[in-house]
Amino acid sequence: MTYFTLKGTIPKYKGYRGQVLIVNLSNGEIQKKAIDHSIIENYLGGRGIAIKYLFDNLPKGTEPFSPNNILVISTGPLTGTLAPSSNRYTIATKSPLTGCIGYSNAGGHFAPELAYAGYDAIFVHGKAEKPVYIFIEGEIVEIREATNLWGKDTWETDEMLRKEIDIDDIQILSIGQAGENLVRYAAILNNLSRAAARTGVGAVMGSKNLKSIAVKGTGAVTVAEPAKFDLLIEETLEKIYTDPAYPSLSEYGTSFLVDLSYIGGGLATNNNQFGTFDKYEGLSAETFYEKYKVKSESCFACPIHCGKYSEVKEGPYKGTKGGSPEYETIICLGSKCGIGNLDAVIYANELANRYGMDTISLGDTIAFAMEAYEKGVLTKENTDGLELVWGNEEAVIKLITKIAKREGIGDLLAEGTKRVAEKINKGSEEYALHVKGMEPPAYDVRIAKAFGLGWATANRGADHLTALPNFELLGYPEEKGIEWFGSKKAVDPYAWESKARMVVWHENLGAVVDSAEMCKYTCFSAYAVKPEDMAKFISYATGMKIDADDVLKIGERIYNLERLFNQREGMGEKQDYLPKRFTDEPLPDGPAKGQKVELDKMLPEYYALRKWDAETGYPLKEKLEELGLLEMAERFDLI
Amino acid sequence: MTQIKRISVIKEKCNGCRICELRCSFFHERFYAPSHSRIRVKKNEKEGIAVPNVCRFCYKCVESCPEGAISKSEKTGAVQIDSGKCTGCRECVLACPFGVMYIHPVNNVAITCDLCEGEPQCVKYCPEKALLYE
Repeated sequence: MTYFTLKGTIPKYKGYRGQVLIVNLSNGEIQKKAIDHSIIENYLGGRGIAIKYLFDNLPKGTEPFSPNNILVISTGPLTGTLAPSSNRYTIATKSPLTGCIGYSNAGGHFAPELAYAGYDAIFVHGKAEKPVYIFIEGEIVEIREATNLWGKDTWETDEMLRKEIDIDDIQILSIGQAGENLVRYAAILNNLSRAAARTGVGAVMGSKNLKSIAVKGTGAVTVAEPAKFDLLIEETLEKIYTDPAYPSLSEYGTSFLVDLSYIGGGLATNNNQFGTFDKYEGLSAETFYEKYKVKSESCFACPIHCGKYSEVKEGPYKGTKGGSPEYETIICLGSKCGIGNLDAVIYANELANRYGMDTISLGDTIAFAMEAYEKGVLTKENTDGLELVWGNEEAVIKLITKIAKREGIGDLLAEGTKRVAEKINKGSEEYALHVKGMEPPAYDVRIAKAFGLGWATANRGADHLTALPNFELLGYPEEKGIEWFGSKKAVDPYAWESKARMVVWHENLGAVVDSAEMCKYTCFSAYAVKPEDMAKFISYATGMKIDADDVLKIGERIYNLERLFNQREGMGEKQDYLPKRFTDEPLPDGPAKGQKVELDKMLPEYYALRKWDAETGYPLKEKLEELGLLEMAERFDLI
Repeated sequence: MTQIKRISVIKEKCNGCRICELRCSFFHERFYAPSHSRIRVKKNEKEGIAVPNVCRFCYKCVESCPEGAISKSEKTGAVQIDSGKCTGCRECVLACPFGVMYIHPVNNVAITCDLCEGEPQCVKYCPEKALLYE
């Protein structure tokens, strides 16, 4: 297996639908092909086939907004089945935020519909002359004009498309104005509130003049061994339902993590200057539950249903209703900006969803601007008169619209923290929080060291989901730490020991989870699906015979290929760092006072475990050979 | 005669996960396909509304069938369709006041809820207990 090859044959594996779409928006050409079996065996689906396709087909050095960039939308072998929470899809591209591999992943109901329509993936090339959307109804695939939709937000677009297409239960993903205006952290939304948000995938979609993809499928997904598959689902459900975190996640949704970070002293406040927040109660899970939650709103086939529908019932934001802000949003658009009022956060979240923006990068960029304002680097003269003081919710809400429309100061902030700091200078780099150009998530990693390492090593930039090493947070007994990662320190979030091993394991399995397209909450919250379980899910679904080692090997291959992609695109050496705030500035307050991330202790061990060069952080020949990636590295003189 | 048990819906509880649709298609077809399900969740995402829609046993379809292919099950009270007699003419689809009579996409015969031989899978597996069979 060398290049990403596409054939006209139906694959031998079940679970898959057997066809992919290659859509060239420049010349309107639409092709239907089948993926070669060896690609499936080595990369599985979703995030795996995305990186393989991009590595082989994206010309080296492509500018992210050039028509030559490619947008991959891909599902996995479990998509559309009853395997718990297997409703996700990957959108991958070369990121306009980081210049690295960009990928994002969303739940909801889009991915299974694409599967029922008969497609495993869509590869979008080129750029349309005028705004268009892609329409898929089973075998019918059309590029349709979308001039009337351009300039509309994602909710308006959803409504207009539903009327125009007039097919029951069609599934739609769209960009809003932020994607059209190339905001570097623009998101792609489906089901109104499910966002493929990170790394600016929405801006690449906008650069292609692609507004939406609408899909309807009436087909079926079959699995190779239905009886065994069904029994495995039964066993997995039992693990999910009996997990101690299940009641919190299913009742409160991810907002319960606000309380967890408060208790731990890692409630990111004022651009991570503090780990405690005096207005915490305004953001707490209890407040959310009592005042705002209406009901649960689940992704497809998910027993956890962490999504919530909420409504603001009084005050200036009264009448705001829709999918609730997740934990990440509550912190990034809340406490990081000094805001302790869920009314405002829920409204800000709606705006971000409508305009189509990543609430993490958005909130972080605003929080960074606020610290620059606090330090006098930004003043009223260059903020369009807005007083960017902590907690000024009106200013934050005004900024969101300005950023989406690239108006005034919004044009600058639409570039993301790293570029803003480069522009305004005056020492602001010191508190410009990003890794590889992407802004960090909510949980302050000074109280969770494996997460800290995971932010640094994630191929897509500061990211909690690439590793998601929840293991260290769950209060497991020391014996379990020894059993899983060879150290009782593994269960201590403050400890750095054994965290390198923990992160490698999670990153590798996580890459498979993203490629089978199951939700990480099933795998890394309840740990209901471990490598041996994932091997069974994949084997029973597809008919492939793989075991736990194969699963981790596939994950490792994907992870290393993403790393090679970053190397090829000129990421340079020493790319795995953390902003100094997390490594050099101990937490100044609260129960975790004094904690910082000992990255220098974890990183060498991490590189050794990965068999990556200790200096450069890139894979060694031995590792590439072992994973079957040597030829690909040699193709671009990366070794 | 004992009281017929029916599937009823607590619509405030439905979170729209559609596990019921997949359970239904898997039980009847051994594959996963909402388009083959006898229960389907109707949604208005903007308003946060999700309501499973399933047969209420009004038997209007029985009267409408020109082939005499539809009858009431003596055992469960469910609507039963003789696929040998059904011509796929859609008279029952038009007659159904609740929109829960469907045409099988492959076999071209009418399908609707048959209560899974007395143990409705949608009720059994609903994670919110939004469906009742009583």
